[in-house]
Amino acid sequence: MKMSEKEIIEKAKKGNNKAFSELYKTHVTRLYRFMKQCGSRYSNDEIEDIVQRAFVKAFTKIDTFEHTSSFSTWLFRIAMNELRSDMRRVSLVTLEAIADEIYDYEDEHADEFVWNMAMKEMLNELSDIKKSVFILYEVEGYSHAEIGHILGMEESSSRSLLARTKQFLRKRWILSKEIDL
Amino acid sequence: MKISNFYDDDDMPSMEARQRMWNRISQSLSTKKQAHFFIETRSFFYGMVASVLITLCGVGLYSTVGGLVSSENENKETEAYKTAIREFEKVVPSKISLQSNQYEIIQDKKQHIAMIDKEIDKVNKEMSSPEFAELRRITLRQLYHTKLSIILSMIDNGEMEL
Repeated sequence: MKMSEKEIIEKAKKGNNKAFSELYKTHVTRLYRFMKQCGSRYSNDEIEDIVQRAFVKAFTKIDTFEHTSSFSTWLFRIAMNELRSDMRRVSLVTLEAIADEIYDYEDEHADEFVWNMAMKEMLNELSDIKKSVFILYEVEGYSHAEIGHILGMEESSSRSLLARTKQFLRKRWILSKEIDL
Repeated sequence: MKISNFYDDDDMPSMEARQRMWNRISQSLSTKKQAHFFIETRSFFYGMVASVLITLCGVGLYSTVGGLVSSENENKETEAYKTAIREFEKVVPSKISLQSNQYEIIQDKKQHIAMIDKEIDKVNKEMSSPEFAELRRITLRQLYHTKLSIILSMIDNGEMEL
């Protein structure tokens, strides 16, 4: 019988190595690919290092995890903090500067947004925070509340950032089509 | 809407990368576990040392209290000597039998008692100083004991009239 994630976490809290391995297998790909998008300036080795550090932190502090959020939300938050501390170290643009702003923006044309793979390139023109919100919501399927928890911001900020990102992508897409014509 | 084809193959960790990360994670976790064990071992030894120290403190405290109790008993003994001497001195108002042919011996004994009194006064005056307090207490007790012995022997020998 397959164990639930909650049961696996409880086993991991008791120091069960198999439970750690199970949690790693379940979440590593999802975390790695997201971190690779967020930390697009980083090499594969550096992304590996951040992901590995996030797992070590999560596993060593697992007894503090109280199931108030999903394990992946908690893990993503730890990983984002690791990425932020790295960014601070190398003096790259920090995520907090944008995250601290108050947003009350709603895109009236949000429903008109249709994803196109060509937009992936355009995402790189955006700040890390906007890119992160977009991927977490549109690709990874997190709610705005969960994104707020992962990125350390208000739920409303996540909502506004997503709307702005979508508006940017839509406009940028229309512009690129016009240029092609 | 959820974008399903967002990630490329390049975005995914290779099998080798996954294995490499896991190896480092397990290594890091086992190191942390060892450190935890080390801390616990160290705590155990600290606990052991602390318990030995507490035991020694307990023994010391017991000895000190015991010493205080015994010195209290000794003080009581000294007080008893003093009381006895005082009572004898009250009952026997230094009436020396003049008929006794041992007049000189009695005088010597009286002189001896006077010397002891002098010594007792001296030691009593020094009792306020904490230095050698125990030694002074013992000396005082011996002086009272000697004085009482002399008085008793004088009564026994009829050198003092009751």
